[in-house]
Amino acid sequence: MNIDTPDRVRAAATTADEQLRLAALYRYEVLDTAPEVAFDDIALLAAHICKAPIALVSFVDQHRQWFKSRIGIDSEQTARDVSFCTHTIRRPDDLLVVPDALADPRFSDNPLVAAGPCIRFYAGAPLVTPEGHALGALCVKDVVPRNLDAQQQQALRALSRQVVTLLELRRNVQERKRIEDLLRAKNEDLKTFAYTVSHDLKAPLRGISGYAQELERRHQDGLGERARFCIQQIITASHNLDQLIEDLLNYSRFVAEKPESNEVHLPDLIGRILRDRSLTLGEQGVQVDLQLPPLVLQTWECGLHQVLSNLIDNALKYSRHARPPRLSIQAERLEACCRIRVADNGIGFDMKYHDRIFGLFNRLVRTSEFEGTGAGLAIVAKLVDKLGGSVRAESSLGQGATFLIDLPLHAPRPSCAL
Amino acid sequence: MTTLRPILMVEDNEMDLDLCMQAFKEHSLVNPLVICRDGEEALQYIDAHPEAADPGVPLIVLLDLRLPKVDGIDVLRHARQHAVWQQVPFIVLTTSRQNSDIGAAYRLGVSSYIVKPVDFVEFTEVAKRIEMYWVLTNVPPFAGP
Repeated sequence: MNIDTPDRVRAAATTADEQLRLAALYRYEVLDTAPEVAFDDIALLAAHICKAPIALVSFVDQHRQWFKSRIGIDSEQTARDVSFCTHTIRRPDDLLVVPDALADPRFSDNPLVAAGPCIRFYAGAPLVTPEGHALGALCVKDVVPRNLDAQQQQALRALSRQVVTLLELRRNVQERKRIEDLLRAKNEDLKTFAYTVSHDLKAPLRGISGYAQELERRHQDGLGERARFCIQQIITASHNLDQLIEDLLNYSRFVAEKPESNEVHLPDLIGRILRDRSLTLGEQGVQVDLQLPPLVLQTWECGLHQVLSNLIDNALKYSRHARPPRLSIQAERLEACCRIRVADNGIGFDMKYHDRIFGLFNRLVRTSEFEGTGAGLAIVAKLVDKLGGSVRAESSLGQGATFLIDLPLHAPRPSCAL
Repeated sequence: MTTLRPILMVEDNEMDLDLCMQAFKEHSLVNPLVICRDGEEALQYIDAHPEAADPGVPLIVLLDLRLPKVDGIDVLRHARQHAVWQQVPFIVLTTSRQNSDIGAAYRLGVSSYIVKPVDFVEFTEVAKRIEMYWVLTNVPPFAGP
């Protein structure tokens, strides 16, 4: 394609690419936005380096050219058919330099040249996306015929690449904000849903439990042994369901919760958790062994409290038949993290089930042997994830279990907060 | 002989209502029970008994937060704006531990917030405590009719 090719042919040649080009332009959501310093600075640099009174960051829309940044002119946009940049974008690999617009048949009768601002000189570097679409141009203009030296041309090309980089970064940030907003909204939905569901599930449950208990308390006469057993089972089952609903609600609350950042003195935290269980520790004659250096972590206190509480409760539960039950809690500062170990001498488990035990409502024991719904470790796994750490277990059947938590020494980045 | 003031129950769930009445019966509560089946009925009842001397003004109100037509919180708000009813103790009985509900209820001056337990025996304990304290022990704000 050269300057002798008739206009209509040139126009037709851009149509195929034009739809894709426009789509690419709209994806950047830059048209008709407020001025931004980052873009203005690039126009400024272009004007300085090229020693030109006019510099523009221009985007070529379907019927117009719109300026994100402008130096030396007032209008925000011009019609596409009088724009220089619309020619620039046809050759994405090249600068368009017009040393004297009056002498150039493409522009000699252009109203911006023959009259008005009387533009005589134009140099534009196309703004080309990584996919190869030319969205517009970074250009400089002057009112006298002139040119750009080699360094100025190089600078203009470099600055045009900077504009594209800016567009990309800006789009990534916007996308991220959009996703964060969406996640926040979904979290709120989940919270509300969980509360509503648990409330609505509990109502008929109260009915089942209430009437079964009334049968048991006041209408035993005339009921055979089997009938009384049936009633007992109904009552037990409804209590289990109640517990399941509570645990499900708890679990979904932790899923939706937003972590905060607190300064946590680890030995203090563990001390508090153990004091809350002093009755159980005493009744079961648990031997507690603590190896805790005075570590201070920058982390989510509420989340860590729940994690350690659940692990300690599990340790106590599954070791209560041991003589004596032993609970050991250790912490050490490793290079990149803090490692906390909670170990017991309880029934342990087969390592082949290691991953399963962290699943919601997954249990390896019968409810008749050990109470619980299997939500504890699922909550631990979810919370440790939010804390930016990791959890794993080591065990063998009959030989107790050790749970290891690795936590970062500093709170995770906000992106983990959702 | 002074007539006993009623206990007003605002509850839409039939089973909860029935079980609650059972619980009060078990503890031989003698005060009459007045039932409103939704928030609108509750508002109408409040408006129909505006004077302290009115025997229909209850000793205590047991209020479920989640009600059809008009929400429990709105019933509470309406009562608190009423010269006589703002002195009647309101006990909120509900499954909702949701913080916003608790906060809103206390801000509107609810006297007590009790979560309905699934265990009926536990519930009868709750009913008994309600009766022991509010009906028998607590000195009502104004004399009987």
